[in-house]
Amino acid sequence: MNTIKKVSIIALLSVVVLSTGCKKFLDVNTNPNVVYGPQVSLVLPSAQMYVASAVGCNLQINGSIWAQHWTQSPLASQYKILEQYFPSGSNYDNSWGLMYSQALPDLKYVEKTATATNYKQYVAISKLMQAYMFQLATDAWGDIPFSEAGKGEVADGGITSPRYDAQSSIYDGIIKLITDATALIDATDPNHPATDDLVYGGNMNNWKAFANTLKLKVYLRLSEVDSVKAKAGIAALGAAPSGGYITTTNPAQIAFLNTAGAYNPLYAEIVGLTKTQNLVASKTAVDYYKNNNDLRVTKFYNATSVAGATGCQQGNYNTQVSGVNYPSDLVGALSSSTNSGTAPVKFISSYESLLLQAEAKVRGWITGGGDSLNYAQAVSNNFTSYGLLATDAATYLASAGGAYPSTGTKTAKLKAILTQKWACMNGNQGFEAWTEWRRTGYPDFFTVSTTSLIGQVFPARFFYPNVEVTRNLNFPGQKLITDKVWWDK
Amino acid sequence: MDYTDAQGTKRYGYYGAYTRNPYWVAQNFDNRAKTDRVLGAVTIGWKPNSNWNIFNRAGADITSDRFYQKTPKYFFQPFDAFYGAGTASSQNQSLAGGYFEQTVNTTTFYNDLIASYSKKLSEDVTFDGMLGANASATTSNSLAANIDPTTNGLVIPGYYNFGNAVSPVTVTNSLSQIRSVALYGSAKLGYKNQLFLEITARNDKNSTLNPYTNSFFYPSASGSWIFTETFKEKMVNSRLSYGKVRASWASVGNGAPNAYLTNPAAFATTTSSTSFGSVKFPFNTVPAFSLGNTIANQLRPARSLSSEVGVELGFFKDRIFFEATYYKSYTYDQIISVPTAPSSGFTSRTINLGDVANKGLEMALRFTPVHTKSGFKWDVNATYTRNRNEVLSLADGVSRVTIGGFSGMEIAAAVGKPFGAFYAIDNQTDANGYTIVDPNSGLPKPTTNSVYKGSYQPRFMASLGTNLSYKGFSLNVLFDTKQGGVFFSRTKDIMEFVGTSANTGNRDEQIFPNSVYLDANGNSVANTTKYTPYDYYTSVAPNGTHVLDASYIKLREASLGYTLPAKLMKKTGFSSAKVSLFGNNLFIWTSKENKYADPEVNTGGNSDEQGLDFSARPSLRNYGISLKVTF
Repeated sequence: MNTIKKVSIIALLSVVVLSTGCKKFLDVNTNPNVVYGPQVSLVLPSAQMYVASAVGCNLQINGSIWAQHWTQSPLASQYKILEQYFPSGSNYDNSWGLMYSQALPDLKYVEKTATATNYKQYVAISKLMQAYMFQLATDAWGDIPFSEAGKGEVADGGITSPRYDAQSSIYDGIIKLITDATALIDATDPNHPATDDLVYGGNMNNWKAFANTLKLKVYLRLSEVDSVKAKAGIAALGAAPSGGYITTTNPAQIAFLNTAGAYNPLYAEIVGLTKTQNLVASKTAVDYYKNNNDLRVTKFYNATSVAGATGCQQGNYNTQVSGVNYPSDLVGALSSSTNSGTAPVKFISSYESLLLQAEAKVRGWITGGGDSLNYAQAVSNNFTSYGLLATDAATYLASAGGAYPSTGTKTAKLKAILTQKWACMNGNQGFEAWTEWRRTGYPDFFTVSTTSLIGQVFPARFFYPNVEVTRNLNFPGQKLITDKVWWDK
Repeated sequence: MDYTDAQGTKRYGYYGAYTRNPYWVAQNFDNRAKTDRVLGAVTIGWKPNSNWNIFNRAGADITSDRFYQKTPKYFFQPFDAFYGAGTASSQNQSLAGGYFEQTVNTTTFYNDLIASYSKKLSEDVTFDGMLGANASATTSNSLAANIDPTTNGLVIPGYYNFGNAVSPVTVTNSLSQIRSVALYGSAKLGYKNQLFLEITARNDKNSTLNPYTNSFFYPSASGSWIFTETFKEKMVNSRLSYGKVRASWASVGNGAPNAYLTNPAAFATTTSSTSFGSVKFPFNTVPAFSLGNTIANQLRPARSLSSEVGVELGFFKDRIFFEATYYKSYTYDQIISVPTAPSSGFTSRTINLGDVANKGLEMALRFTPVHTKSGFKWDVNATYTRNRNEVLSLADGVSRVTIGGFSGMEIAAAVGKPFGAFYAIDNQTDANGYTIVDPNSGLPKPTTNSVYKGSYQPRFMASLGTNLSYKGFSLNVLFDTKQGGVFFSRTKDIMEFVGTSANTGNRDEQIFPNSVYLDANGNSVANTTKYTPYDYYTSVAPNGTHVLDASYIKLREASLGYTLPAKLMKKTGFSSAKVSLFGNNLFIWTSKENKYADPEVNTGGNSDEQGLDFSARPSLRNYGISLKVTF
């Protein structure tokens, strides 16, 4: 019996030791490799960069090819699927992920945390970035998750398969985001960002101009589908809303450096592809500039003269063209020059702002005229932004090809404004150029890619990414690439 | 080597339009892993009397892993001047070079205190009991430094040192700790060496789980009866020489596979990546942090319940021996990280998966048809396993959860389907199974949603082996087979893409086999539009067409050996010596549609992600000579 007692005591002791000491012993499940609750100034730059990576790389490449500024080089193959109008869903995994699973959670964190600490200017910027980003996404894909997006964490509802909202309701949501943000903007608020705001360095007056310009852009997108709403929204803004529109002094863009790791996202992508030059000038765009003796062709591409500029027939990657030009380092796509690393990513440019105003005026939604002046300023801004002289712009504006049809019909004016917008956006705003072509049909001289696999038609949207097709249980089904989005009539 | 020309200029493009010389790649890209491991344990015991045995064992398992990765700095020009000549050619390929080094130190310390007791309770009844307590702590510490070839670079080519970086070196570190404690015990009763009954019980606490549920208890019970022992007297002349029936029931619990899975998403330094490039923070001296991509959930322990009955029968003095087991098991609350739709704001989540049922039959037969006095022996052995697997329910009532694959090809757990179901976009087919094409291009149309293409669970597995032996010589042959199930072959995908597989041989425009198009009313009309195979294989062919029948038969092993006579060995001082010729994985016969890969290769490793040939390295055939000498 003695031994049984001894054994029992040992067993009992060990149980006691284990159950008392074990709580502390087991309490090691807090991850030391990550951090909770960083201040919003450390998170805002992440979100802005993710959006820049999406709009400046994947959307830029796809947009510029379908806007016929660029085409696939016959000497490489990376973007053949875009010329075939037959990209796979996985082609869009990256840009979708950058917006939804990278930028959105950070923007929501900034909004939530800044609201709690009364950092209103951060709340405003977060809402504006969300508005800008969701417009990009819905313009690319049509119906997308919006009201249930970014709520995967258990505390936010644990929605792992968000429902897809109709594009019309997303546009309403975007407008509300901008309106709410505008009401918060106060340039005298001391709690505004500084260098952590990669776009405007914390200048809230500039963000107000951004808000107004973005709202104008959003409403104009509804011109063909709901002109009543578009007109009312733009009339409320007027010719000179409080804070104004974006001008040449405050274009919304992020600058990059000639340093590996801080390159323009498109150039970083090219470096990752061992610097192979996949993108070359499209004949569609090059011929347009040449026909109008437009010096910009020597800036958007590495052409040394207007007459010598050469492009490839859109999509004709099976035929080598001698002396074909490449997109220049100014737009971040010349693989042989590290100067491409310094090209900015443009969210909204000054010439875009001016041409949006011009269009609203021609449509009569902003009264008082001035469309002709806006047009001329836009052209001039575009020329000087790419290192040409104001006098070059003046010469161009005086020529038959560049002149604004001041006395022409409304249709002629719209055609001039939108064709000019497409000409201005070459290389840095390819996605917006393609999107405006979808809305208005201008320019009207695109040619169907010679290697189209879907016949004599143009693509009208992006495919939904495979990561959604295979993982979202509420995914409504893949669309045809020719299915138009809601505002595209 | 022909990757430099007469002028010493490096060229690419001999082996394919965009590829560098593979010999150059093999020589210059370098990837190494080194491991040191030390194991040790100290045991102190005390035997107070003949019944008790008490001992404590404290041990450690210390591993150090080091990884080294060299990426050369290079500049290649196209071999063909057609692609542009000179150092400014747009088609030059270059990379800035990089170097990566990582050290991972993992230590596990454990302690077991065990008291066992055994006693003959009576002439016929034996008792064995055991009680134990375990504590275990695993710490893993990683430190890595990286000169990334796309966001950084080497100054001097070929000099792999962190002092040789163009920009600041990226350094990352991480720490992971897992601890657990357990109490366990067992009791076993034996009756006359013919009836046995055993029960076990164990309670675990694991640091990886939510504190409220981190204590979990799991018992088991088993019994067996050797009836030939009971009826020994009556069965002296029976053909049945051995007979046993057994039954068991067991429950098992487990903690999470990794630490911190229950922690909510938190922040770490930002890298904004596109498909091939990235922007890193600090960016232009501005630092930034970004929320992680995994949704945390409170986790319950992973559990399984299984029960089985079995029989073992030996005939003719065990010349024929047969074994059969029927089992049923349920695994539930399996802890798994699943890919998640990015529109949720996250790309993965860790969950208790759901309820998966398995039932099946295992049979084995050993048979010795010939055994002569001269020592000639012929053995045959065969096995058969049939398992039926079904996902009964999933967490949160969802119908499907992705467990692996990649963006266009999903391996999933889907309710009502076997675990490991393949879903992918496929070519559209009509009600009669004809492929629906686009009447303009003649190319098949893809389905709008991913469709079920089968699962990686086989219908059955079997093996057949034989062994012939005579006076020291032995010949061994083993075949095995898996029938049914599917796997995804990216090897097929990529061979079709580059045009090296047999089915891409005819590149002339042709009508897609058995194709139709749908007219305005949705009726199938025979297709007469020719398609271009080049376009189909380079752009259109969806992933669903790369899911193949995974059936195979393998000549798994064959060997011929000779054991030297014992007499001979006596003089040498060795106790035995055997020399043999052997071969493993010698031949494979795959299904008709699978001309691409060994279905056994798997990129997912030893995880739930099975049946994925993501351009996997071909499996190896081994053969050689072996010599075994024992002292």
